[in-house]
Formats: sequence, structure tokens, C-alpha cells
Amino acid sequence: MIKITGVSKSYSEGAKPAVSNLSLTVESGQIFGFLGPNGAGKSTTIKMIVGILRQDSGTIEVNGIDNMKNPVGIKKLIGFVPDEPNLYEKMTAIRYLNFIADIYGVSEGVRKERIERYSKLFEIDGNLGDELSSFSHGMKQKIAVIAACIHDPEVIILDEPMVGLDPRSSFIMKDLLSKLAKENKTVFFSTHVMEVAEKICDRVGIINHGELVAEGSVAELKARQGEAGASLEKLFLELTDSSDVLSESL
Amino acid sequence: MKVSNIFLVIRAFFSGVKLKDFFSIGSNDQKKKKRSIAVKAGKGLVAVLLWLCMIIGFGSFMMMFGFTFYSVESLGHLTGHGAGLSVVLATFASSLMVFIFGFMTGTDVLYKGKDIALLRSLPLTEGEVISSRILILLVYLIPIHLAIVIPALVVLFIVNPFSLASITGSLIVLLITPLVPAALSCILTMTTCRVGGRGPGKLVVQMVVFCAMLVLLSLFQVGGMQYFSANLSMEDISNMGGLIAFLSVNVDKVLRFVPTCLWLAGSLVPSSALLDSVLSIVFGFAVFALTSWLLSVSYVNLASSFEAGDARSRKSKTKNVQPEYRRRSVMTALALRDWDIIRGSSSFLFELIGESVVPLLLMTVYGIMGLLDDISMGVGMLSQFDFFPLIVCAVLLLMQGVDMISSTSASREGKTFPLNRVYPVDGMVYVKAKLVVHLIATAVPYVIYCVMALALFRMSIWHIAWMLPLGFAFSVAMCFEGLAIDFNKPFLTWKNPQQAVKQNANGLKSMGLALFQLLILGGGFYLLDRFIGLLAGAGWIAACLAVMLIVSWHFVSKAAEAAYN
Repeated sequence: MIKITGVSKSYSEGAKPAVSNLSLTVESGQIFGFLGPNGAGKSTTIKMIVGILRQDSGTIEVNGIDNMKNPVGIKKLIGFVPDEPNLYEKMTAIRYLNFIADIYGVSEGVRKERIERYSKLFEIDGNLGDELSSFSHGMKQKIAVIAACIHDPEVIILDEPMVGLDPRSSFIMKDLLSKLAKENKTVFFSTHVMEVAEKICDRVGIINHGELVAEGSVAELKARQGEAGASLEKLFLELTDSSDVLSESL
Repeated sequence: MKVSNIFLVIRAFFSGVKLKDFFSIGSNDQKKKKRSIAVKAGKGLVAVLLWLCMIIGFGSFMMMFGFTFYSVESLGHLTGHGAGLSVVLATFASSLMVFIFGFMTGTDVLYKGKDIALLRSLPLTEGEVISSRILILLVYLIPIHLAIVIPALVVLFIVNPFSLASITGSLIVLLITPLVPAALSCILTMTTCRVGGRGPGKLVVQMVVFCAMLVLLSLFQVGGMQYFSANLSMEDISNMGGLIAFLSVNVDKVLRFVPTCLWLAGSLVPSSALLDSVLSIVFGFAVFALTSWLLSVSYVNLASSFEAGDARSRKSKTKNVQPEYRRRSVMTALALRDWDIIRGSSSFLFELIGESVVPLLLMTVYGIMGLLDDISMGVGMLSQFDFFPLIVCAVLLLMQGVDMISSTSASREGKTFPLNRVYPVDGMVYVKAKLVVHLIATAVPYVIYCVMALALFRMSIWHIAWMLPLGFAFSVAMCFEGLAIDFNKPFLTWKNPQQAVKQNANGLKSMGLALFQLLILGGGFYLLDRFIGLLAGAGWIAACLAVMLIVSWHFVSKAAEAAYN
């Protein structure tokens, strides 16, 4: 479970906060889609949850562990897929995965089983001996996902996980996220693709200018629009003040 | 080829690099908070102290160069060569250094920069791209050139009368000298890349060429020494006139091999200034233009090879390899990752590991030439002094301390560094892993060199009992200090691996600090030993090292906490 309470973050003193007084809760077994336009504060929020950034105020708890009080403890529970798969280029894929497994203290037998399972799932098992510098963006993304799952985390957080993936891999990814949720894991991901959010998310949150402007299940949000043919995309455009601009420009 | 395009690309490459950042203390990633005046003053004081250490450290090196050039300039007047002999030597030494360092980092700058893929997609000619890369390399090499040439110019102005030619000539020496060696190093880089083919072969060829270059350099130096000892009779040495005549003839012989240095030095002397200035400028730009053309011919192929070819070759070789699932401790995994990052770039390898093996290569060459005995006898007089073992130890510590392994460690990780904060690992585990890498790279060569030095100078083996703990403690303190400096303000946004090392002020600050501390250690020991006794001197060193270890541990643990947790 992820519990964010009154979290704010700004990058410089006096500047407009990137995230302002954000509160939300994602229960175990749920898939939460975090939506928002570019620069809305999605990545900042994710970076605060995983420990890359520290919040200025408020609390973040994962399965009851406070990120400020026990940063190492909270990180053990999280698997993270960054938006840019910046991996160690000179390592082979298997060496990178072993490195991550070493960091999380995964035993040899368990890591072997998981690496084999996930690499077959993403059809990348034939490339494990290749250097990461030879991988395409999509292939690196797959490795980053396997690395995030290698320690069987309670919470998996993904920043734009579908970017760079081919349609087949996107399908596999969506399926994997659903399976993880069924195993009572918490899945939190940001995306720009409304269809993905509509299809697999139990709940979605829309953030704009650092503030959470809507939160609920897809059905609840559609009902809020109260009109026939309501869609998440329409709601998103409405809430992020871009529908007028869009229709004018069209 | 448009010159404006070349300078546009160079400006874009260096955009965002601010000189004030180079001098500041504090993280790039830290939020700009309003700090109290006391905190600001404290940070400012630390910055000033660090830069003072660096200036004193490097200033003493430049002073040493200055004394050598003063002797050479005086020799020039004695042997009838007139003004400028020190500049000949300085431009030669600078050219040699620029050539070697240019080769060490040429591949990364010319072919492997992260911006090269973008440049190749823009409407720029190969000539424009490669010319900009050569000039970028030149910018990196300029500080080395200036550090050598400026002391010679200062000596020239002190010893000789002032003239207009000395002003214009100085500008030519400062600006034109590095053009030719930088261009030649680019040609050698291109050749080794072509010979090395696809994959890791390039790096192997470059390492072999680099070692061969050092061996050749040593042979050249040793050959010169042997020539002098064979041809200089006792009669010549005892007779001043004979000695000067001997030197005059041999200086003439040497100068014949360095015409470009003669032109550069000649541009400072009124009688030959015009002709030699023109020759220097025309030759410099002609070599640069020719190099740009030569490199542009093969640029597309080589850059493409780096972009795609390496990957292909790595894939084909590893197809049937069974994956290994060996478990390691967190510290071992982190240390191995650091090694993977180092071997990921030829700049890192040359800068960090190459420097450690240079003395070993030199000793090998001296051994082959049979000079080790001569050296051993040569220092025989000096070895009679009680503090001789300490001098040997100080030299070895200097070699060990003047490195950038820890002080650029976080910076070398580049954009992957923030991901460390995602891992459930305490900051001090990272410090310990980096300490292991540091000790392997510096302490292991130190032990080898200690043993070699004891054997070479026929010192008692028991000296090892204090030399090893001293070296170990110094190395640990240097590692902590370097890491603390780099954790505070890591340079993570580099586009080219070379920037993470060469354009990183953290490395310079750490080296300056190491030199300064060595001066304090050595100076204090000398004074206490002289006026109180050996025990007091030894106590001083032990106390200083204890303070260094405690203080550096305090700073590195605080910095690691902020950087990783």
C-alpha cells in the first residue's frame, strides 16, 4: 500500500512547487494510473516515492514504512522502472540483472528462476549475454522491468513504462501488471496513454500543475462528466485546461 | 566548410559550463535553499581553502618547471644559443604531453561523444564536425600546455630584455604550439581505431600503442643519458670551457630534431621574429587543416562503427554463452559495477588505471637498459641521510595521491547516479565499495613500488614495516577526501566521458589537497626531526594521519548520507 499525505516539493526556494499538497492512497492489489500533462509533477511524485528526491513536507508511507524514517527499509519493498532506462552500458544484460539481484540480496536459485521466467516472457532470453550498449530503447526498457521485478517487490512503480515498447511487448507488460495486482502487489504507474489507463487501472489520478485534480475509478470519473459518450481522454483534457486550446488549434 | 558552423558546434558543446561552478562547493542537485550567513561563509571558506591547496600544490610544480627552465635559459646564453632555449624545451615538453594526453582521450572526444549522433543528423559536413571535435580536444589539452609553457615564458621575460617580438611571440607560443601535437594525436587515434577494427580490439590496440609510446619515451631518455655519460670525459667535466663546448655542440645536434620548437622560440627573438612567426603559424594551421581533411575522409565509417559495429560484434561473440547467476555481496557488486564503469570508457581507463602502471613501465625500461644499478649508485650519496627512506616514501605517496579515482567516482556514473538512491543500500556501503576500488588501484601499486624501491636503493627490508601502514592510511584518507568532494558536487551531466575526469574540478581539488597534505606531513617531519628528534617527527606523521582519517571519515559519511539516502 502506498499512502501519500500532504506532500509538497519545489525545486528552488520561492518557486512554484512541482508538487503541492498531494494526498492519495493506493491499496494493495490495485493498479493505479497516474495521469497528467508534461511537467505536471508525475515524475517528481514518483521520484519522491522511490527515494530519488525528498519531499519538502508531508509523509510518504509504503506498507506502513515512512520514507524519511526508514529510507532503506522502504526501498526494499519497491521495484522501480524509470522513464529513461539509463543502464550501465558496458555491462551485459545478465550482469546487470545479477547486480540488481545482489543489491536486493536475491539468492542464486530464485534469481535464476525469475530472470529466466521474465526474459522468456519479454522474449529477450537470447540477448542476456549481450552488452546493454547494443540494446534498443525498448529492449533496455524490458531489462529495466525485469530488474524491477527480480526481488518480487510488494510495490512496483513505473514511470511511463509503455514508451519504446512494441505493441506485443506493451500487451505483455499490461498483462504482467494485471498479474502482479492479482498477487496483491501494489502497482503505480504514470502514463500518457489513456487507453492503457482505461483498460487496466483500478483507479486513476490526474495531476495538473502539481495538484491532484481528480481521483477515482475510471467509471467514477466518467460518471463525473455526466454526459453520454464520456471518456477519460475528454475528462483529462477538461481537467488539464487543454481542451479549448486543442479545439481552437484544430 | 563553414568556420561559423565549427564554432557554433563548439559553443553548443560547452554551453552550460560555467567557470563559477568550477570554483563552488555544494551539490548541483541540491535545492537552492536560503542559507544563513554563517553557513555561506563556512562553505566559502572551505572553497577558498581547497583552491588555496590546489594553487599551492600546482604552483610548486610550476615553480619546479621554472627553475629547470631558468637553468636551461642560462645554459643557452653560455653556449651561445642566445635567448629562447628554455622556450624550445618548454614547447617540446608541452607538445609531448599534449600528444600523449590527446591520444589518451582522443577516441572519446572524436568518436564517442553523446552528441555525435545528433551532430551527424544535422546538415553539417564531416569536415565541420571533425574540426570542431579536434578543437574541443584542444580546449581540454590547453591547461597542460599552459602549465608547462607559462613558466618558460616568465623565465624568458626575467632573463632577457623586453621587446615587442617577445609579446607577439608569446602569443604565438601560447596559441599555436598545441595545434600540431593535438592534430598528430588525432591522426594516431584515427589510425589505431581503424587498425583495431570493431569491438574491444580498438581499446587493446590503443593500450598497446600507449605503452609502446611510454617505452619509446623512456628509451629516448635513457639513450640520451647513456650518450652523455659515454661521450663526456672527466676532463670535460673538470674544465668549464670544455664542458660548455661539449654542451654547445650537443645542444645544436638536439635542436636539429625539433625545428618547429625552434621556430616557436625564434618568434620571441627580434632578429628572427617575423620569419619564425610566419613559419609557426603557417605550419600549425597547415597541419591542422590536413588533419581535419584526413580525419573527415574516414569519419563517417568510424563514427558509424562506434555507433553500431561494436554492438554487432559483441552480440555475435556472446550468442552461445550460458548466463551465470552467481551471487555476490552488495559491496562486491558495487565495486564490480565501478570497475564496469571505468572500463566503459578509454578515457577512464587511461586516466585512472594507466597512471598507476606508468612507473612500473619506466622501471622495466630502466631495468632492460641496465640503468637501475646506475640510478641506485647515483642516489648512493643521498641514501646516507637518515631521512632518505622518507623521501622515497614521499615520492611514492605523491604518485599515489595525485590521482582522480575517488574524486571523480560519483561523477563517472553520470546520469545513472541518481538511481543509487533507489537501491536499499546505506550510503556507507557505497563508500566502502569505492574504497575497495581505490585501494586496488592505488595501494596495490604502492606496495609493489615500495618493494621495488627498497630493492633498488638497497634499503633495509624493515622499512616496509612503516612504509606500508603509512601508505595505506594516506590512501584511505585520500579516498575519503576525494569521495567527500565528489559526493558534494558530482558532475553528472557530462556529454563525453572525458569531461567527467578532465573537466571535473573535483579531481583537481582532491589532487591539490593531497599535495598540500603531503607538504604539511613532510615539512612538519623535517622540522621536528631536525630540531627535536626522529621520534617527534614520526609522532607528527602519526598524529596528522589520525586527524586526516577522522576528519575525512566525518566528511565522507555526511556526504554519503546526503548523496545516497
